[in-house]
Amino acid sequence: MSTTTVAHHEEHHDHPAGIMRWLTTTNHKDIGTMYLTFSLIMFFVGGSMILAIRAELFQPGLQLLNPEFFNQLIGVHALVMIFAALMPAATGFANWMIPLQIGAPDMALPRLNNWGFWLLPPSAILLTLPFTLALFGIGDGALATGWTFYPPLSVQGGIGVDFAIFAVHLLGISSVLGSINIIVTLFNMRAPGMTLMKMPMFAWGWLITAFLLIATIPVLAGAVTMLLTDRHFGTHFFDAAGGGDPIMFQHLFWFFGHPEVYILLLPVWGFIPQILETFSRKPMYGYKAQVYSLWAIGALAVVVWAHHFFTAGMPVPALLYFMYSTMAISLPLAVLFFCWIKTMWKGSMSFETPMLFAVGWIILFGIGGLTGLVLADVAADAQYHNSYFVVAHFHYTLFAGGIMGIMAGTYYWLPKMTGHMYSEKLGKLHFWLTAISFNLTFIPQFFLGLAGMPRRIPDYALQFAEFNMISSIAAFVLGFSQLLFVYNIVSCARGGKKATDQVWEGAKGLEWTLPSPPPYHSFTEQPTVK
Amino acid sequence: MENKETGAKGSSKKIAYILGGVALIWYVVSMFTIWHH
Repeated sequence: MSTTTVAHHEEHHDHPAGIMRWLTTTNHKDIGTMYLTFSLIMFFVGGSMILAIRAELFQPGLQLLNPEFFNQLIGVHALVMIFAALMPAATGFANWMIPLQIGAPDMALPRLNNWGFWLLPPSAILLTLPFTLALFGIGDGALATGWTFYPPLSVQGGIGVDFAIFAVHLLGISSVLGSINIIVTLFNMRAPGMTLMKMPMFAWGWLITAFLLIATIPVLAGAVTMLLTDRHFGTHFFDAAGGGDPIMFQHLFWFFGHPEVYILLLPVWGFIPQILETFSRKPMYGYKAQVYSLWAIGALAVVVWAHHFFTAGMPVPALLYFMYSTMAISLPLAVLFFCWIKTMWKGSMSFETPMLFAVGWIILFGIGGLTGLVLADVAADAQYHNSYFVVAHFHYTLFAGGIMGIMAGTYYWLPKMTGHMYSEKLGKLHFWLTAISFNLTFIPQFFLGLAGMPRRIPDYALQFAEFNMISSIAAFVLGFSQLLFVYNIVSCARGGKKATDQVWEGAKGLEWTLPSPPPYHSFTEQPTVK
Repeated sequence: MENKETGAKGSSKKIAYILGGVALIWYVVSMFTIWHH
């Protein structure tokens, strides 16, 4: 496609301008941009909640927050980060990049795509509104159950639980709509010659994620619907006093909750190998092995859920089954790690910001994975369960493995999306500040957990003071260093050195054949893949 | 809108309806798990 053709086409596209463009858009890039912007805003909303929590935990005793408000911040922080920051970020990249990577003019169902996005802002409002309402004396704040909604606490909780239940329904509908769109796009819209086994790894990661979402989101929705009827319509599904079973809720919740981890990570496992091959300047190692491993992890993800509540009590054969099946996930994951490392092996590597984030990601996510193996052990879990060890573990998987992965993807694709290069110096500074302060925040939490500090408490015993102080200071550095990320994105969007079409010397794939930024309607002539 | 040359069978809408239907049925079925009590 020549630049002349693109310029000519750009002059004649007929989308509305101003706010109406964003409200009514069916363009995959516009919707992708909205998802990514929404995600970034919610990342700071969720982040500011946790900074309030870390300020409270800076020293023993109650200083800033009352325990009820502390619990509310804990639960909403998790829901916001998972549903409103990480998932929309991955969906934003899917919208932007999947059509470009498979040579499609847009997503298969563009209007559904618009609807999927616009369900998100009301959900975010529903999640956070109870905080504001409480200021005016309405209700007692947001849900204080943690993000897991466990009964009986959630059956007895205030209106914050109802708000969160409705928010989760809306977020779930949004996710299912997005997943349907991605599956249909990948099945029906690939350019001629692009067979499934020629798809970019990011597309594979998302295809499996989309199936996982359709398999698990309805179960979460079912569980919280029953919770709602328990709260307001006299049922006793989870109320032991009425013959119900609170453990059943835990099964239903984690049938969704564990695959959710892979839902957050599989898209990242898709584009990290692409970043590694680009900056190692050699082909991705073990493409087929990676695809099969992603499928294996996707399949195992839905059969291991009960390891999240070993201590709630279950028969020994069930404990053994869930322990061994959980540990089995490390096998395909080890294949992926091997392929990622082998892709870099003897490559002509350079360390631009995306590569720094990708390599740092492998190491930090590796720590998250290994500490997960420890927690999968039934006997060891009896000590670690509900401790800060768990908190540190899942932040290594979801902050390092999820958010730092998203940051790698952002720096990788930002020049393609905006048409400008970001500041490499600031990008590198952002990486080092993030990586160092992240480790200083969460390594102490491993030790706190091993020493017996429980999670979700606003106060703690004196012997935990030093590690909490280090963790809190580092958390503030981590939080404020993300302002560099925003500055880099905004300044890159506003201008800067012009990015070439290929952007990176070693970049391969259809998205790099389009101009930077791509025209409003990509691929006016259908590409063919050989 | 689908690329027929990729060998795709069925329309985008048909696949979407099937997937949406599966999600909806699964939502209802998940609520019946409680009946094992």
